[in-house]
Amino acid sequence: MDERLYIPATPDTPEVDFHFAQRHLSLRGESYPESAVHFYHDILQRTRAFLQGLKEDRVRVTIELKYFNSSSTKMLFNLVECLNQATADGNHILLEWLHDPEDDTLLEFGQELAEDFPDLDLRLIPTQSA
Amino acid sequence: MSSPPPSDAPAVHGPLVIDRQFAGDLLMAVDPVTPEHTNEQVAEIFARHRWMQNLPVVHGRRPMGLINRNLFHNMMAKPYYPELYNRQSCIAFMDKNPLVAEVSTPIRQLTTMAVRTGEKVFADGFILVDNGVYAGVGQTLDLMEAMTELQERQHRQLLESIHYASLIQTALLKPARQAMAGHLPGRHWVVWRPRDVVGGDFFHFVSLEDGFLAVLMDCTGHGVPGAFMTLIAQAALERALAEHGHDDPAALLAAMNRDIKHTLNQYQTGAAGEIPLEDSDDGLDAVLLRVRPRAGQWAFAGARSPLLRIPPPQAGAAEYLRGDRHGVGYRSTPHDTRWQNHHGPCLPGERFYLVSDGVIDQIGGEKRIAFGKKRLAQCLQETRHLDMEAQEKGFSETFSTYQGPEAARDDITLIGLEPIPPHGPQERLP
Repeated sequence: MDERLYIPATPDTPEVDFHFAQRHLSLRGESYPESAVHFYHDILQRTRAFLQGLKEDRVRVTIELKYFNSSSTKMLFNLVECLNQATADGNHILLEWLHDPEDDTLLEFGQELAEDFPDLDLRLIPTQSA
Repeated sequence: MSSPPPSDAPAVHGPLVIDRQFAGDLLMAVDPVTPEHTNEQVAEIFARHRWMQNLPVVHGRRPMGLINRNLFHNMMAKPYYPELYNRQSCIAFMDKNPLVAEVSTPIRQLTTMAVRTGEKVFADGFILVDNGVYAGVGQTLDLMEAMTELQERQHRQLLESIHYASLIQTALLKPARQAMAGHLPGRHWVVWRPRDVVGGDFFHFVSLEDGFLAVLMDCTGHGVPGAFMTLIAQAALERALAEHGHDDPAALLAAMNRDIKHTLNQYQTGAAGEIPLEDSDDGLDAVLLRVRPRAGQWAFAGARSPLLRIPPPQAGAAEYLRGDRHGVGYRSTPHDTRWQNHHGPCLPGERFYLVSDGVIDQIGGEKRIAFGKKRLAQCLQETRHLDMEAQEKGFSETFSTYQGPEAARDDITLIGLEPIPPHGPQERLP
């Protein structure tokens, strides 16, 4: 199995640390690449392959994005859709959606995800204020 | 190609060749030595040609190596070395693996080769060959100059092209600006700032017998691809208007959705999210506002975009009217998607704001978080007593202070409209 997918952050792409072996996937930073489809294509494929190989397993997913453009938004939806499918397949997926307590935009997006994917164990987690 | 420097003069570069594209354009002809030359002879050549940093060695017509002046002198300065090596072949202190490039190598590729060669290339330069036959040498500084020229030229060409595109995009927005100025003189403002000179935000304004229709479209992407999308979106809007008229914003969104899906052939294929990389999945967020001041009514429909409404003083607080959650034209938006119209009474002095997500999502402030809807509403509510021009200035100041040194993340558009003057019907209504 794919052990780990690690991509360091750049100014316009997030840090991707998908530690498949440890069942912890995390996405942190900002996401506004010129072509989000190209950036996320491989990430999504490997995640799908990983999720399809699971059986009654537990996975923790941490997303802490400060900014994402509209094409990245669609890719995020695709990712969450995969997680939702894995839940339907009998796994327990915990999705931690981290947002600054004052960031209403991020909070709203998290709430929309929760509405759209009610089966996911999605937790909206305010980050510590500095 | 530059001519060889005079043998008794310091290195002078010939007239700057403007268009240096290949390794051969950096060529300096230097008479090479052969293994038959002794170190004593090499010392003499270096003494005679003070500009010469490197002396190439050839075997027959093929390059063998490069003797670096400083390295050579350092070796020969060691005790007993002259006595030991003076009469020996010059290959003793020669670098046997210099960078060798064909004269036809493009500058960009030569730069890559030079970087891979490592540090020594800065002092040693490189040997140039023509079909494997020694042709001359080149200096790394010349290569860097040529590479810089090349990049500057390409960058300039790109910028010139985008600036020209910006003239076209600005011209396309002019009718909307003129219509607004004619219909709502002193009662509107527009902040339109594409992130990359051209962009994916676009607005439209139609002056009508009984009021107006204002449209803001935020297409996927920015820069050139975003600008392409605005053309497709605008064409779709024009066709929708021709078919459905101006009174039903939701119907216009539905018609644009069908049109754009058809134009870009964006129909859902396979499982969600598994779209082939080369297939497009583009569309737009939009807000359409139809106002009929004399009838005292407005109608609004939004695709993933809100409308911000600020009632006149004492008539309530700012509120966002939420649009529907479907974007327009995307693969995931079904062909027969319907949007909803929202209606309300339009009051004297009431203001409406059409905003793209570039404003709401802009990162800034001490915490480096998004500007946000709340802050936007607050800023506009606090400045609602100002006339429109002063309010625009107020917003621009607040926003740029918030943004601080952060780069714009997206195209930014904010349009403010006051359909009925504050003092009500005694003023002439459009």
